[in-house]
Amino acid sequence: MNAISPYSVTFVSAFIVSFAVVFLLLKKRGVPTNYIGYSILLNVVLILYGGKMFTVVTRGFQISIFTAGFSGLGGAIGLLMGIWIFGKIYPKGRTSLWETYVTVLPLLYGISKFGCYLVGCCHGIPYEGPMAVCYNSQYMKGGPYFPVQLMESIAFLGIFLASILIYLRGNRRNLVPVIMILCAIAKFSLDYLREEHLGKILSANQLVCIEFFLWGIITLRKNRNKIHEA
Amino acid sequence: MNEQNNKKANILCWISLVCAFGPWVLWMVTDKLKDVAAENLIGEALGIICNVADALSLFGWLAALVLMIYVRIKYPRNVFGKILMVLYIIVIILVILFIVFMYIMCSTFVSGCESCIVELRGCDS
Repeated sequence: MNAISPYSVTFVSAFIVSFAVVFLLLKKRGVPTNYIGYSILLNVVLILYGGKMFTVVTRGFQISIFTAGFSGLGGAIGLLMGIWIFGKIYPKGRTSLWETYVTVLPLLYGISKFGCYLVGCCHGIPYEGPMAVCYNSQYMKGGPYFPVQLMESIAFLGIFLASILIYLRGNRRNLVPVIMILCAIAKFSLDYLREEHLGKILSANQLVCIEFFLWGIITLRKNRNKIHEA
Repeated sequence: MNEQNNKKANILCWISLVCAFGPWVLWMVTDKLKDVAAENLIGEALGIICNVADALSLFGWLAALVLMIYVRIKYPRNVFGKILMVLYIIVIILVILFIVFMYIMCSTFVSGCESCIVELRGCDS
Protein backbone atom coordinates (compact mmCIF):
# COMPACT_ATOMS: atom_id res chain seq x y z
CA MET A 1 0.00 0.00 0.00
CA ASN A 2 1.27 3.49 -0.82
CA ALA A 3 2.04 6.00 1.91
CA ILE A 4 -0.23 8.97 2.41
CA SER A 5 0.97 12.12 0.64
CA PRO A 6 2.82 14.72 2.75
CA TYR A 7 0.30 17.25 1.37
CA SER A 8 -2.64 15.49 3.06
CA VAL A 9 -0.73 15.16 6.34
CA THR A 10 0.23 18.86 6.34
CA PHE A 11 -3.28 19.92 5.29
CA VAL A 12 -4.93 17.98 8.13
CA SER A 13 -2.27 19.15 10.62
CA ALA A 14 -2.92 22.77 9.60
CA PHE A 15 -6.60 22.36 10.48
CA ILE A 16 -5.95 20.56 13.78
CA VAL A 17 -3.34 23.07 15.00
CA SER A 18 -5.23 26.18 13.85
CA PHE A 19 -8.61 25.17 15.28
CA ALA A 20 -6.97 24.09 18.55
CA VAL A 21 -5.55 27.64 18.80
CA VAL A 22 -8.99 29.10 17.90
CA PHE A 23 -10.60 26.97 20.63
CA LEU A 24 -8.13 28.11 23.31
CA LEU A 25 -8.35 31.79 22.35
CA LEU A 26 -12.17 31.84 22.17
CA LYS A 27 -12.41 29.93 25.46
CA LYS A 28 -10.17 32.59 27.02
CA ARG A 29 -12.56 35.28 25.66
CA GLY A 30 -15.51 33.57 27.41
CA VAL A 31 -17.34 32.16 24.38
CA PRO A 32 -19.36 29.06 25.44
CA THR A 33 -17.73 25.74 24.45
CA ASN A 34 -20.69 24.48 22.39
CA TYR A 35 -20.79 27.76 20.44
CA ILE A 36 -17.06 27.41 19.68
CA GLY A 37 -17.81 23.87 18.44
CA TYR A 38 -20.62 25.09 16.14
CA SER A 39 -18.43 27.86 14.73
CA ILE A 40 -15.57 25.41 14.06
CA LEU A 41 -17.97 22.94 12.39
CA LEU A 42 -19.38 25.68 10.13
CA ASN A 43 -15.99 27.17 9.31
CA VAL A 44 -14.31 23.85 8.46
CA VAL A 45 -17.11 23.04 5.99
CA LEU A 46 -17.06 26.58 4.54
CA ILE A 47 -13.24 26.57 4.14
CA LEU A 48 -13.45 23.32 2.15
CA TYR A 49 -16.41 24.58 0.11
CA GLY A 50 -14.83 28.00 -0.53
CA GLY A 51 -11.49 26.45 -1.47
CA LYS A 52 -13.03 24.19 -4.08
CA MET A 53 -15.63 26.69 -5.29
CA PHE A 54 -12.92 29.30 -5.99
CA THR A 55 -11.16 26.84 -8.32
CA VAL A 56 -14.45 25.99 -10.07
CA VAL A 57 -15.42 29.67 -10.58
CA THR A 58 -11.95 30.77 -11.77
CA ARG A 59 -11.99 27.90 -14.32
CA GLY A 60 -15.40 29.02 -15.63
CA PHE A 61 -17.27 25.95 -14.28
CA GLN A 62 -15.31 23.69 -16.66
CA ILE A 63 -14.67 21.26 -13.79
CA SER A 64 -16.91 19.74 -11.15
CA ILE A 65 -16.62 20.87 -7.53
CA PHE A 66 -16.02 17.22 -6.58
CA THR A 67 -12.87 16.93 -8.71
CA ALA A 68 -11.62 20.52 -8.37
CA GLY A 69 -8.34 21.23 -6.60
CA PHE A 70 -8.27 23.22 -3.37
CA SER A 71 -7.42 26.93 -3.41
CA GLY A 72 -6.04 28.42 -0.19
CA LEU A 73 -7.38 31.86 -1.04
CA GLY A 74 -10.86 30.41 -1.70
CA GLY A 75 -10.60 28.69 1.68
CA ALA A 76 -9.84 32.07 3.28
CA ILE A 77 -12.94 33.58 1.60
CA GLY A 78 -14.98 30.62 2.92
CA LEU A 79 -13.67 31.21 6.44
CA LEU A 80 -14.55 34.93 6.32
CA MET A 81 -18.06 34.02 5.13
CA GLY A 82 -18.34 31.53 8.00
CA ILE A 83 -17.34 34.15 10.58
CA TRP A 84 -19.84 36.62 9.09
CA ILE A 85 -22.72 34.06 9.16
CA PHE A 86 -21.92 32.93 12.69
CA GLY A 87 -21.67 36.56 13.81
CA LYS A 88 -25.24 37.07 12.53
CA ILE A 89 -26.50 34.05 14.50
CA TYR A 90 -24.54 34.94 17.65
CA PRO A 91 -24.09 38.77 17.61
CA LYS A 92 -22.76 38.86 21.20
CA GLY A 93 -19.59 37.06 20.17
CA ARG A 94 -19.12 38.75 16.78
CA THR A 95 -16.03 40.80 17.74
CA SER A 96 -14.32 37.86 19.50
CA LEU A 97 -15.00 35.60 16.53
CA TRP A 98 -13.65 38.06 13.94
CA GLU A 99 -10.53 38.88 15.93
CA THR A 100 -9.73 35.27 16.80
CA TYR A 101 -10.37 33.62 13.43
CA VAL A 102 -8.63 36.35 11.43
CA THR A 103 -5.60 36.13 13.76
CA VAL A 104 -5.39 32.36 13.18
CA LEU A 105 -6.01 32.59 9.40
CA PRO A 106 -2.31 33.19 8.51
CA LEU A 107 -1.34 30.16 10.65
CA LEU A 108 -3.78 27.91 8.78
CA TYR A 109 -2.58 29.21 5.43
CA GLY A 110 1.11 29.11 6.35
CA ILE A 111 1.07 25.47 7.47
CA SER A 112 -1.00 24.26 4.52
CA LYS A 113 1.34 26.07 2.07
CA PHE A 114 4.18 23.99 3.47
CA GLY A 115 2.26 20.95 2.16
CA CYS A 116 2.28 22.55 -1.31
CA TYR A 117 6.05 23.00 -0.98
CA LEU A 118 6.55 19.32 -0.19
CA VAL A 119 4.36 18.10 -3.05
CA GLY A 120 5.11 20.74 -5.69
CA CYS A 121 1.67 22.12 -6.48
CA CYS A 122 1.42 25.94 -6.89
CA HIS A 123 5.17 25.88 -7.60
CA GLY A 124 7.33 28.89 -8.41
CA ILE A 125 8.89 30.28 -11.56
CA PRO A 126 11.88 28.47 -13.13
CA TYR A 127 14.92 29.49 -11.06
CA GLU A 128 18.41 28.14 -10.50
CA GLY A 129 19.66 30.14 -7.52
CA PRO A 130 19.94 29.20 -3.84
CA MET A 131 17.08 27.09 -2.39
CA ALA A 132 15.83 26.17 -5.91
CA VAL A 133 13.81 23.00 -5.66
CA CYS A 134 13.22 20.05 -8.04
CA TYR A 135 10.35 17.58 -7.81
CA ASN A 136 10.17 13.98 -8.94
CA SER A 137 7.00 12.32 -7.78
CA GLN A 138 3.92 10.64 -9.16
CA TYR A 139 2.09 13.95 -8.70
CA MET A 140 4.69 16.44 -9.90
CA LYS A 141 7.88 16.22 -11.96
CA GLY A 142 10.11 19.13 -12.91
CA GLY A 143 12.28 21.98 -11.77
CA PRO A 144 14.36 23.66 -10.61
CA TYR A 145 11.79 26.18 -9.33
CA PHE A 146 11.79 29.14 -6.98
CA PRO A 147 10.51 27.87 -3.57
CA VAL A 148 7.56 30.30 -3.54
CA GLN A 149 5.40 28.02 -1.38
CA LEU A 150 8.11 28.00 1.33
CA MET A 151 8.36 31.79 1.11
CA GLU A 152 4.57 32.04 1.52
CA SER A 153 4.72 29.73 4.53
CA ILE A 154 7.44 31.83 6.19
CA ALA A 155 5.67 35.12 5.38
CA PHE A 156 2.30 33.98 6.73
CA LEU A 157 3.74 32.34 9.84
CA GLY A 158 5.56 35.64 10.48
CA ILE A 159 2.28 37.55 10.15
CA PHE A 160 0.65 35.07 12.54
CA LEU A 161 3.38 35.49 15.18
CA ALA A 162 3.11 39.29 15.02
CA SER A 163 -0.71 39.15 15.16
CA ILE A 164 -0.91 36.72 18.07
CA LEU A 165 1.42 38.94 20.10
CA ILE A 166 -0.84 41.96 19.48
CA TYR A 167 -3.92 39.80 20.17
CA LEU A 168 -2.59 38.59 23.53
CA ARG A 169 -1.58 42.12 24.54
CA GLY A 170 -5.21 43.08 24.18
CA ASN A 171 -4.80 46.01 21.76
CA ARG A 172 -7.16 44.59 19.14
CA ARG A 173 -9.03 47.60 17.75
CA ASN A 174 -7.35 47.58 14.32
CA LEU A 175 -6.12 43.99 14.41
CA VAL A 176 -8.52 42.53 11.80
CA PRO A 177 -7.95 45.15 9.05
CA VAL A 178 -4.18 45.23 9.66
CA ILE A 179 -3.92 41.42 9.32
CA MET A 180 -6.05 41.52 6.15
CA ILE A 181 -3.82 44.23 4.64
CA LEU A 182 -0.61 42.38 5.53
CA CYS A 183 -1.93 39.07 4.14
CA ALA A 184 -3.14 40.77 0.95
CA ILE A 185 0.26 42.44 0.37
CA ALA A 186 2.17 39.19 1.05
CA LYS A 187 -0.04 37.07 -1.20
CA PHE A 188 -0.20 39.71 -3.95
CA SER A 189 3.57 40.13 -4.22
CA LEU A 190 4.49 36.44 -3.88
CA ASP A 191 1.95 35.51 -6.57
CA TYR A 192 4.30 37.11 -9.14
CA LEU A 193 6.82 34.37 -8.33
CA ARG A 194 4.43 31.53 -9.25
CA GLU A 195 4.84 29.84 -12.60
CA GLU A 196 1.07 29.97 -13.10
CA HIS A 197 1.36 33.77 -13.11
CA LEU A 198 3.74 33.95 -16.09
CA GLY A 199 2.20 35.86 -19.00
CA LYS A 200 -0.47 37.54 -16.86
CA ILE A 201 -0.63 41.07 -15.50
CA LEU A 202 -2.99 40.24 -12.66
CA SER A 203 -4.10 36.75 -11.58
CA ALA A 204 -7.49 35.88 -10.04
CA ASN A 205 -5.68 35.53 -6.70
CA GLN A 206 -4.31 39.06 -6.98
CA LEU A 207 -7.72 40.52 -7.81
CA VAL A 208 -9.07 38.99 -4.58
CA CYS A 209 -6.01 40.35 -2.70
CA ILE A 210 -6.81 43.86 -3.98
CA GLU A 211 -10.36 43.50 -2.59
CA PHE A 212 -9.03 42.31 0.79
CA PHE A 213 -6.56 45.23 0.82
CA LEU A 214 -9.27 47.82 0.04
CA TRP A 215 -11.59 46.29 2.63
CA GLY A 216 -8.78 46.57 5.20
CA ILE A 217 -8.12 50.22 4.34
CA ILE A 218 -11.85 51.12 4.49
CA THR A 219 -12.24 49.37 7.86
CA LEU A 220 -9.17 51.19 9.24
CA ARG A 221 -10.62 54.54 8.13
CA LYS A 222 -14.00 53.68 9.69
CA ASN A 223 -12.31 52.74 12.98
CA ARG A 224 -10.37 56.04 12.94
CA ASN A 225 -13.55 58.03 12.30
CA LYS A 226 -15.25 56.24 15.21
CA ILE A 227 -12.42 57.32 17.54
CA HIS A 228 -12.71 60.93 16.32
CA GLU A 229 -16.51 60.89 16.83
CA ALA A 230 -16.09 59.51 20.35
CA MET B 1 -39.51 26.88 25.38
CA ASN B 2 -43.09 27.74 24.49
CA GLU B 3 -45.19 25.83 21.95
CA GLN B 4 -44.91 28.53 19.28
CA ASN B 5 -41.10 28.62 19.43
CA ASN B 6 -40.95 24.84 19.34
CA LYS B 7 -43.11 24.84 16.21
CA LYS B 8 -40.91 27.48 14.57
CA ALA B 9 -37.78 25.47 15.40
CA ASN B 10 -39.33 22.29 13.96
CA ILE B 11 -40.18 24.06 10.69
CA LEU B 12 -36.56 25.28 10.41
CA CYS B 13 -35.35 21.74 11.09
CA TRP B 14 -37.54 20.33 8.30
CA ILE B 15 -36.22 22.99 5.87
CA SER B 16 -32.69 22.07 6.94
CA LEU B 17 -33.38 18.38 6.29
CA VAL B 18 -34.72 19.16 2.79
CA CYS B 19 -31.67 21.36 2.05
CA ALA B 20 -29.35 18.55 3.22
CA PHE B 21 -30.86 15.59 1.42
CA GLY B 22 -32.69 17.29 -1.47
CA PRO B 23 -29.42 17.75 -3.43
CA TRP B 24 -29.02 13.95 -3.56
CA VAL B 25 -31.81 13.95 -6.14
CA LEU B 26 -29.94 16.66 -8.05
CA TRP B 27 -26.75 14.55 -8.00
CA MET B 28 -28.62 11.60 -9.46
CA VAL B 29 -29.95 13.81 -12.28
CA THR B 30 -26.55 15.41 -13.03
CA ASP B 31 -24.95 11.96 -13.00
CA LYS B 32 -27.31 10.85 -15.77
CA LEU B 33 -26.82 14.15 -17.63
CA LYS B 34 -23.02 13.71 -17.55
CA ASP B 35 -23.42 10.37 -19.37
CA VAL B 36 -25.54 12.11 -22.01
CA ALA B 37 -23.04 15.00 -22.19
CA ALA B 38 -20.18 12.60 -22.96
CA GLU B 39 -21.83 11.38 -26.17
CA ASN B 40 -23.59 14.54 -27.33
CA LEU B 41 -22.77 17.54 -29.50
CA ILE B 42 -23.96 19.96 -26.83
CA GLY B 43 -21.85 18.03 -24.33
CA GLU B 44 -19.69 20.95 -23.25
CA ALA B 45 -22.62 23.24 -22.40
CA LEU B 46 -24.39 20.38 -20.63
CA GLY B 47 -21.19 19.63 -18.70
CA ILE B 48 -21.03 23.24 -17.46
CA ILE B 49 -24.70 23.06 -16.36
CA CYS B 50 -23.92 19.85 -14.45
CA ASN B 51 -20.92 21.52 -12.76
CA VAL B 52 -23.09 24.50 -11.71
CA ALA B 53 -25.71 22.04 -10.36
CA ASP B 54 -23.00 20.16 -8.38
CA ALA B 55 -21.80 23.43 -6.82
CA LEU B 56 -25.38 24.47 -5.96
CA SER B 57 -26.18 21.07 -4.43
CA LEU B 58 -23.29 21.47 -1.99
CA PHE B 59 -24.54 24.99 -1.27
CA GLY B 60 -27.81 23.35 -0.14
CA TRP B 61 -25.80 21.32 2.35
CA LEU B 62 -24.23 24.50 3.70
CA ALA B 63 -27.67 26.07 4.13
CA ALA B 64 -28.75 22.96 6.04
CA LEU B 65 -25.78 23.26 8.38
CA VAL B 66 -26.39 26.98 8.99
CA LEU B 67 -30.08 26.33 9.80
CA MET B 68 -29.18 23.52 12.21
CA ILE B 69 -26.68 25.78 14.03
CA TYR B 70 -29.28 28.59 14.13
CA VAL B 71 -31.81 26.24 15.77
CA ARG B 72 -29.23 24.92 18.25
CA ILE B 73 -28.32 28.47 19.34
CA LYS B 74 -31.74 30.13 19.29
CA TYR B 75 -33.81 27.13 20.46
CA PRO B 76 -31.32 24.97 22.43
CA ARG B 77 -34.04 22.79 23.99
CA ASN B 78 -35.60 21.72 20.70
CA VAL B 79 -35.26 17.92 20.37
CA PHE B 80 -35.44 17.86 16.55
CA GLY B 81 -32.50 20.29 16.46
CA LYS B 82 -30.44 18.00 18.70
CA ILE B 83 -31.21 14.96 16.51
CA LEU B 84 -30.30 16.94 13.40
CA MET B 85 -26.98 17.99 14.93
CA VAL B 86 -26.03 14.37 15.72
CA LEU B 87 -27.14 13.29 12.22
CA TYR B 88 -25.04 15.95 10.45
CA ILE B 89 -21.97 15.23 12.57
CA ILE B 90 -22.30 11.52 11.69
CA VAL B 91 -22.66 12.39 7.97
CA ILE B 92 -19.57 14.67 8.11
CA ILE B 93 -17.51 11.97 9.88
CA LEU B 94 -18.64 9.35 7.31
CA VAL B 95 -17.73 11.69 4.41
CA ILE B 96 -14.27 12.34 5.92
CA LEU B 97 -13.71 8.59 6.46
CA PHE B 98 -14.85 7.91 2.89
CA ILE B 99 -12.41 10.52 1.50
CA VAL B 100 -9.52 9.10 3.58
CA PHE B 101 -10.44 5.58 2.43
CA MET B 102 -10.57 6.70 -1.22
CA TYR B 103 -7.21 8.47 -0.93
CA ILE B 104 -5.57 5.33 0.39
CA MET B 105 -7.29 2.83 -1.91
CA CYS B 106 -7.15 4.74 -5.18
CA SER B 107 -3.69 6.25 -4.66
CA THR B 108 -5.09 9.65 -5.59
CA PHE B 109 -2.86 12.40 -4.21
CA VAL B 110 -0.57 9.64 -3.01
CA SER B 111 3.01 10.04 -4.01
CA GLY B 112 5.01 7.24 -2.46
CA CYS B 113 7.10 6.91 0.64
CA GLU B 114 9.98 9.15 -0.34
CA SER B 115 9.75 12.91 -0.02
CA CYS B 116 8.76 14.59 -3.28
CA ILE B 117 11.79 16.87 -3.05
CA VAL B 118 14.72 15.21 -4.76
CA GLU B 119 17.07 18.14 -4.82
CA LEU B 120 17.41 21.17 -2.60
CA ARG B 121 20.12 23.52 -3.81
CA GLY B 122 22.33 25.26 -1.33
CA CYS B 123 23.97 28.66 -1.51
CA ASP B 124 26.90 27.24 -3.49
CA SER B 125 24.83 26.57 -6.60
